[in-house]
Amino acid sequence: MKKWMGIAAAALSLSLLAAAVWTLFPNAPGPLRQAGETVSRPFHRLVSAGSAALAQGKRYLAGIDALQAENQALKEALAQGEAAARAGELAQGENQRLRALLSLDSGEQQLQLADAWVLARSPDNWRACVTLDRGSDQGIQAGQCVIDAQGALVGRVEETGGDWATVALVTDPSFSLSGQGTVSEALGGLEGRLDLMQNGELAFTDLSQGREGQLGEGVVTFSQGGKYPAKLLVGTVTSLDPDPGGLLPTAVVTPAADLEALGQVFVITGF
Amino acid sequence: MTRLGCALAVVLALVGQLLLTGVRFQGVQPLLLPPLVCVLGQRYGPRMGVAAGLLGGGLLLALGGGLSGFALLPLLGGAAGGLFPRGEGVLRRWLLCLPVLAGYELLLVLGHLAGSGAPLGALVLGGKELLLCALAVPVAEALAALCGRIGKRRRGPRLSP
Repeated sequence: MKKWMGIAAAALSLSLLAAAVWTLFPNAPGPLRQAGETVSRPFHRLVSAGSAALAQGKRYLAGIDALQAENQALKEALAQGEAAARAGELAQGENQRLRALLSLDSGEQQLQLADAWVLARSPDNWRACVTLDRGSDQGIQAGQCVIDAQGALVGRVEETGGDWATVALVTDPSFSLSGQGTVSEALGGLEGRLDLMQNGELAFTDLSQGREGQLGEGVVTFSQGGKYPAKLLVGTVTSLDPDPGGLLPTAVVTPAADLEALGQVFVITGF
Repeated sequence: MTRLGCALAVVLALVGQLLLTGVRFQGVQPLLLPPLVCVLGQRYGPRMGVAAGLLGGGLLLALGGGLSGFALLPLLGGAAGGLFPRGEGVLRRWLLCLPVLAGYELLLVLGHLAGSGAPLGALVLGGKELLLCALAVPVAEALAALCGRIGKRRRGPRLSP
């Protein structure tokens, strides 16, 4: 009994010591992680390929019925989208004419992008992170936003090494940005939450009373200080939680990016 | 079981866990390392459990896992071997694994509650992980038995004095 108590005490001491050392350097990747990332890169690629194949097989088996229903819904949405696009073209022409009259620029952001591939997903159920194959050598820094090929927000860079970077996805509990509804113009905080992360969703919190957001509207990033780009598409409001704690309303947002099948992504290194 | 067999079992469980990162049930990926560390602790004693936990937790941390795994896996192995030593029979060992795994998940939940709040989400996630870990115990048993045999074969026949 004494023997195993000694072993357990030694293990606990070692664990606490590691935790203490880790907390001294919260922003710097630990030496173990740095070495592990360097050594395990070929292994990561191999495992990542196997993992992607397994996930693809599971999705294929589970998704045939869903795909048929989705196909039907998409056809209907396409018809509506075409009608909206026609209206949008008219509005865009009008907008350009009005901007020219006011001598304003187009208002579009010029994003500087660094492309990267997702190497691996976090093997931890308590986080939603991915590792990229580019890092600080390519100008990637912590805090930069990451988007997919369609321009939808994937997450933010959390830590970087020479040629790797860890990205906290939008569903991760540590993720936090300001957001704005595209229709209601409701302002609030976009936050990952542990309970929503399991469903692949995030929260649109602290919405002002009277502007709770609308079901189905898009949510984009909102930035005044210039720390990250504004108007990046985050997702769509899929449900409204009117008043969970008697304070400010919250909405649930489904990300526009397919976080389960990430391949090539783009880090916004300048805007 | 030799140290080589233990290391082989841990590495195989880690590879399996990494391969399953894209496969999720109710939003939770299956875990192989905690059940394996628990089984190794029970079958071969707390010393082997702690060693397997340290090795598995360290490798997991190096490959992008959380600090909590590195901190708690050795404790899980030590506790499994110390609290319920050398359970005979697969079913008995499986039943004895459950409270140890439940304690492990409870510590994880408490750790995340201290860090981020969201008690309901943490409890639900901990419960799902516990269920998947319990279902993975027979796989871990098979892996431990297989690697135990490999270790014995490598050692070869003992010479009589």
